[in-house]
Amino acid sequence: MKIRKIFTIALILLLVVTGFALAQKKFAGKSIRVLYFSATYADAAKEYAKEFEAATGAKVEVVDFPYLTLYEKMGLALSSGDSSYDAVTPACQWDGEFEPFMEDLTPYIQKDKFDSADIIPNLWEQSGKWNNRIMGIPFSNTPQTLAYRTDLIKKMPTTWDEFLVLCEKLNNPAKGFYALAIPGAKEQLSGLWMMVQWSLGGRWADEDWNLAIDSTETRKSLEIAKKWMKYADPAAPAWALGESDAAFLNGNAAIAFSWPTLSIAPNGDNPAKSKVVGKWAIAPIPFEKNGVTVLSSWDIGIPKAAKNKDVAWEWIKLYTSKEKQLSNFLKYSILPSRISVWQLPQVKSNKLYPHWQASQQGAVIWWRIPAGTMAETYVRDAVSNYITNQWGLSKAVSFMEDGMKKLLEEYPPAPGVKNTGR
Amino acid sequence: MLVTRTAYQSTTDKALSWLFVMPVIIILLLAAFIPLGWGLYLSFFRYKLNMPSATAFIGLRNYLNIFTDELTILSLRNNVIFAGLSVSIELLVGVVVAMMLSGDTRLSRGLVSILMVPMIVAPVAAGTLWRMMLDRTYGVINYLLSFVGVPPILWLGDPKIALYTVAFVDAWLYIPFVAVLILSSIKAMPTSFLDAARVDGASPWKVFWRIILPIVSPVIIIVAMLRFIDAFKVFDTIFVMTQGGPGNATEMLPTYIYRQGIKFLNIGYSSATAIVFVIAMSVVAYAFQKLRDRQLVRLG
Repeated sequence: MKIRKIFTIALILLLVVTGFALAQKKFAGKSIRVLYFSATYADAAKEYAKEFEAATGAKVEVVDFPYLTLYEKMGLALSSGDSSYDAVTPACQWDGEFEPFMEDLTPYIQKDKFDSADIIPNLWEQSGKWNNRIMGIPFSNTPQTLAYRTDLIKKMPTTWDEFLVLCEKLNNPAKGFYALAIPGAKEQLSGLWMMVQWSLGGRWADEDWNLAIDSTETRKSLEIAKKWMKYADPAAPAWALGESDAAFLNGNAAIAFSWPTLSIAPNGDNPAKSKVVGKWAIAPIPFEKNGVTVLSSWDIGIPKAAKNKDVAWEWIKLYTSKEKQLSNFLKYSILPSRISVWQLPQVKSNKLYPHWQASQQGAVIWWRIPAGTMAETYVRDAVSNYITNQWGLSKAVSFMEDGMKKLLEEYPPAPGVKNTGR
Repeated sequence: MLVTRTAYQSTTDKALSWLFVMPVIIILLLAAFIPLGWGLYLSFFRYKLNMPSATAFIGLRNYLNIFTDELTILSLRNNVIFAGLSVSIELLVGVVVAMMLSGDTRLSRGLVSILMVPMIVAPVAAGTLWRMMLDRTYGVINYLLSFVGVPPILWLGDPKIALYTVAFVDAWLYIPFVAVLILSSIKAMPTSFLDAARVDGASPWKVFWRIILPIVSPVIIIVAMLRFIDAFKVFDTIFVMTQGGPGNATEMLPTYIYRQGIKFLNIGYSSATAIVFVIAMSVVAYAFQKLRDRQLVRLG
């Protein structure tokens, strides 16, 4: 009898505790699907998914695609009203295209008193805000930097002329050693050219969309990009990012262009993956007139068609929180979008800290209008054809100009939308 | 007993035939003609999926743009060279391989199994493998060639070579397919022809040239048609190996249509390009069919 009593009390207690626990988990039984770029961003998200489920009761399925296919997956899902994704992570240059299909986050931010002031203001303007609406919270920004060998280079030059002189000095093809590791396949190479054009003071168009691509800066930057190839492994025109980073990590190049945060930073000091352990650092590109640009920034937002918007917002808050941004930085080399994280001592003492200077400038090198991706493709074709000697300088420049002119005629930016990027 | 067909039976047979064919017609309508019709309709519009407000009926302008767009013309030229070259290599090597394996020995049977390996490799995987093997500095192909004194070649980064390189990789993938079909056709030949020729003292070359080749030629024509159309639709290998580069040296119509439709969400223009592509391929298929019919008539 006594045992039965004890058992009954224990059972009631258990039910109460379970009920209490379930009541705490606001989103128990719900699940969301979030779309990421297959890189460290998705790896971090997968790690936090378990913690999120434990805290809220909601399951998170992280779906990720490589950069080359992410745009089309996201674009098709958003534009066709597909409700498969509860949160998506557009690159900043896609904001103008996807904004009509994204939820305005302002009410969510106001409701939860989200600490907006901590997000780097210039960065948010360029990544996550469009047409006076907030369509995403930025969580990563990668300014144009390069990785270099500290045992060979004491100080990185600040002009492209000095840079080329340094390349000439470092290049030693007879020994299989090159000054530069370059991803020469057109996808990445055009991005590198864009940063040179910008750093020299060039633009694609002014803020009212009057084309300015046919300029001395465009021509000079194309010539500089072509000269790089003299100082790179002859295989570089066919290289994607992986091969280029591998060349640097193998100790076969003195300077690596593009995205040090993606592969060089996470692997550079790992003896199993790198022959340059302790011999590399990050520096801004030669910035000359306009300064360093933010080549990549990703924001996270909620599609209008999403089924579980509240859960998605809860996930966004977690993923962009100060705590997670610090973890993203230390563990995954993802550069924070929060000012307070950049001020932390463990961030300030990190090799990636030179990115902060560049992040503050916050200029984005892309057009962010719906026709932006098409414009970028004209640039890719022109740069790649010029670098590989298939087109001359005039042909490359006129191809870009004619293409952009046609795009602006056929798909003009919405009234009032200024060119805040390139 | 003489069985005569009445008008009633004939009508019933016809109705039954139609009934049996109907599911295929319905499936074809749903799976092929309706999307094609929809594509044709869209091709008359400026229609960008992510800019619905810019949608407008523009008549034939998308079609006119195709013939004035230098990249479409370049893609078409690349496509013709690519398909012509890869299919020629496949047929040439395929016939040789089929002849070599046409004996009924254990070795030839074993070799046929080995020959099938490239066929079962997904084009994306094959493209990735070849991309690594063809790297100028780290690739195994240049390493092997260095033993015979060949200097390193920039297989995929040199615009003068890249198109031929990807055509070669495509040929590598599909030579087994061609060889196996031709081999089965050779094996199905009546041996009496060959025996008679040998008794008459014909040389192996004459046996091949005068007897085997004419008899298997209708099969070769069909294989050529299938492969030509397929090679024209190449996508995965190019996408993985070069993304259409360097510059636009390996840009093909399918990668170009993909770029317009999926990357730019420019549905109107990509539909027009796809319709032109379908018409061109139908003409090619018709020409090959005619060639085959003529060959069959010649063979009696």
